[in-house]
Amino acid sequence: MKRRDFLKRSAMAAAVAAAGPLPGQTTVPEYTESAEGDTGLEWEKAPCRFCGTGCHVMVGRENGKVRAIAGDRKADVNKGLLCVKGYHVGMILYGQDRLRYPMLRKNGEMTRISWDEAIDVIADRVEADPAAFAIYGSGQWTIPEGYVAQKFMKGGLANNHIDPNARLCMASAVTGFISTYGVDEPAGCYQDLDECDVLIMWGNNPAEMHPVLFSRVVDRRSRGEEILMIDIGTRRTRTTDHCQHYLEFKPHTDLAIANGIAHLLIKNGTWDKKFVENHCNFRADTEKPTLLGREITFEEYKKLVEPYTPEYVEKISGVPAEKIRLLGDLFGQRDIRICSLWCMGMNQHTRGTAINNLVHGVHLLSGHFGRPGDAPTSLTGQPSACGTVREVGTLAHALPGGRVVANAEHRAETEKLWNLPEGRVNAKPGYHTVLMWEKFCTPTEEGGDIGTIWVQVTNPGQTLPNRHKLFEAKRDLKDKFLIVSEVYPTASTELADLVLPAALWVEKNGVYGNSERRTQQWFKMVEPPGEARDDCWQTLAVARRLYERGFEAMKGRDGRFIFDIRNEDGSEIPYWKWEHYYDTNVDKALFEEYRQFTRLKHKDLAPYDEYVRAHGLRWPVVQQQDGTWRETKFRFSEFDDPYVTKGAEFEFYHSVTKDGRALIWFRPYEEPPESPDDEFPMWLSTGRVLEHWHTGTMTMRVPQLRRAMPGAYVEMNPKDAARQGIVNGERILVETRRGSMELPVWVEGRGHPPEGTVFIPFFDETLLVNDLTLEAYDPFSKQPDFKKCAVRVRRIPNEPYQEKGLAPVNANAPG
Amino acid sequence: MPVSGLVLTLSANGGTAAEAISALKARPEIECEAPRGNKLPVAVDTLDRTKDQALWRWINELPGVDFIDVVFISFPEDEDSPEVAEAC
Ligand code: SF4
Repeated sequence: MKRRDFLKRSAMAAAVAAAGPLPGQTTVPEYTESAEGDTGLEWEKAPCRFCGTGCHVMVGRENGKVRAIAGDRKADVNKGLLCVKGYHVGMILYGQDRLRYPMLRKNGEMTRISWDEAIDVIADRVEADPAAFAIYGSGQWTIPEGYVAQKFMKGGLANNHIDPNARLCMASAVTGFISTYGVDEPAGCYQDLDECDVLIMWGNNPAEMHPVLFSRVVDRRSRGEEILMIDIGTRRTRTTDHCQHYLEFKPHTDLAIANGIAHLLIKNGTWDKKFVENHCNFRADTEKPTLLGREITFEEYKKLVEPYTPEYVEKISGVPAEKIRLLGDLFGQRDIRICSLWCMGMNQHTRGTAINNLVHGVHLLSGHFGRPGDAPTSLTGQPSACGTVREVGTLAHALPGGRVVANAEHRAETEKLWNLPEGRVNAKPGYHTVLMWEKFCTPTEEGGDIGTIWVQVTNPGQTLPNRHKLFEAKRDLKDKFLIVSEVYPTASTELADLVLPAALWVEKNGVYGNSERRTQQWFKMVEPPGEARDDCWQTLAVARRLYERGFEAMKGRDGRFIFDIRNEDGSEIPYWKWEHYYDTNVDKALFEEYRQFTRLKHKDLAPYDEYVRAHGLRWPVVQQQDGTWRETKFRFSEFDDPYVTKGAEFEFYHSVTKDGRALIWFRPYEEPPESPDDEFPMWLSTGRVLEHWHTGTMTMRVPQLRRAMPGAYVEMNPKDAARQGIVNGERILVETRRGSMELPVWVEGRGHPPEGTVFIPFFDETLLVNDLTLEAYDPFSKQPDFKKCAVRVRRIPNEPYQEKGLAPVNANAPG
Repeated sequence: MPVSGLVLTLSANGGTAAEAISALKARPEIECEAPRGNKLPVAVDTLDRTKDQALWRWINELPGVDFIDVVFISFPEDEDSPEVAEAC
């Protein structure tokens, strides 16, 4: 049989296995090892490189290259399925313009240099001014990569200026969880999607952004199960097509809707008195709002939500009063299970923490919490936003395992675990993302006290809001130095002074943590191109260079290197020399060290080798009497969480109020920081598309994905377009107070904005929508609001109709 | 020259689903197995990436197919082809 026939047989076998047994059959035919074996490829597991769903793929390789991808049937998350991005994931390694060599800007020209020189350049910058050095990282960092960067900065340099791009996507979810439950991350898991009766999407488009998760729900429905799906959104999307109800609200007014539900629960007497009495306290804002607010009674809470009648909410939000009643009635029914889903829509919001609090609040008030299917669940956009950012704590205020720099006890524990001299960890939080870049883009003599930023695994040149101010302004500041570790040229490498080629995905070992608290491990499978190297190694090599120069900050209590890794015989392993990096499993050594941090907040991780065997495990992973390790699907629920006191039924054991109770918040609706006016009369919202992952750095290198969605566009409502005589495909001028750009119009395209709103995706590096967005951010999470600002659109005189850059609206016929 | 394995979720409307199966079977690049309930396993073998892409779109738009899940994909060995270069 020819190899191609083997592949085809494997493809069919995988499809048959994923589709399930024939009627009358009870077992699914196994496809994996035997069929995969036939292809002559070697197969190994890895999590998908893209979104926070965390699907597992089987990677087939041959002659040192990735040749095939199959959904991993043994993985609970995706049961063999993948979305269009996931099944092309192997091709991201093979774009022709992979970065292969370190390049330094000399006299304005990027010049190839050796790794040795590159490491020296960075070490020089650190030594010259350690306090002015910053790292800007990512929710795509592996857990060991983030952990190393964190320890290098906070444990080594005593400098807390490290923050990740996840600040731009889920920081409000973090502050929402912490201020509600006292500890971060969702209580439930994806099983909630399999068991809910009602699924409510709050400003969320999982059909495009988390497609495999969404297909779990669609699949239930096509099996004949009844699921009520409700889309609460500001624009119709592919998700809306699957929903029975679409509640279109005016941007920013989701807080009024949530308060409206609470109002009805109380007014109708349908709130869950027993759950609330046993497990909740109430909170409201202090005069100057803080994350912890002030304690209030139920009676005070009742008074605060009193004004939010369905009619009042309709006036604010535009959602008809009867639809608000529908939500109130659903939450008031105890015999159904309700799951709320959200992602960037609620998080990229200047009231992001507040709306997170309110959605948790309606679930707590109604008792729709803690049973499978009854859950407020936030999703993450990046594959390890939870694992690397939230758990390792690579945020400017955090330390590993849910600790914070401002807490003396936490600092002392960290110093002990890191074997550092007492007092090394700085108590003052570092600069969060927007502030870090603002300081970097401000002249030093005017207070711009960040001189160097090292960017790893992210592309701020495309994703920062108000890009001119927060990124481009660096161009004129000669004493500022930008280092970018990347896999392909991007808007960030374009401005960089030093570019370091990085290994990507299965070109290195890794560990990720997905949206449902699942930690996933994989091994290096193929070599990176040219001289590209692991990000983890890059940081460790700089740390070692500093140590060898005698830089005190890289020494622990006993004078040893802070990243000391030793053989069993006690001899030091020189892994900082690239040729020795894989002599040992550095990831495993770092993970085992990090694991010690995870007990404090009951985010217990198992030993590294358990993850090698498993297809991910959800923390807390607790060792059983027989020595095996058991994961936890439902936190705070006695039936599943080993840390809940017997008989308590539910227990929020990290409660803010230290009494095992969660907080139900009142947070009022407030006006957005910028609204349409006479000059800029429309709303602009930004977001993602199915085919591209974030800034498109990887997916634009996959011809199938690039062709499917070749360029950015502006979605317009047909009435708005007709009013100005704009036709589909025409390039128009889109302007905000911060900038302007020309884009082709897509009317009646994939998404359908209402009148008065336009939408632009942010994946296209040739059309940078963040030249237009507002940098206003949530006061607690510091997360910017990319979802709304005021905009105007205009025809360009004499601009002919053209399709350039327009998504292929008519490409449905087979070729 | 990609080979892929797909699972198609067929619509609850038996008539349209049957028409979709017939339309799929009529295409030489597509091989169908017997449906499992509303799930139809198919293997797709196209000559080049353009055809692969177009076929995927066609399936996606086919009345009677509610959802496509991809469970297997192989990549061409000619990753240095002009098409990939053009992507960059
Ligand atoms: S849903 Fe997300 S994790 Fe799953 S295959 Fe698609 S991009 Fe990858």
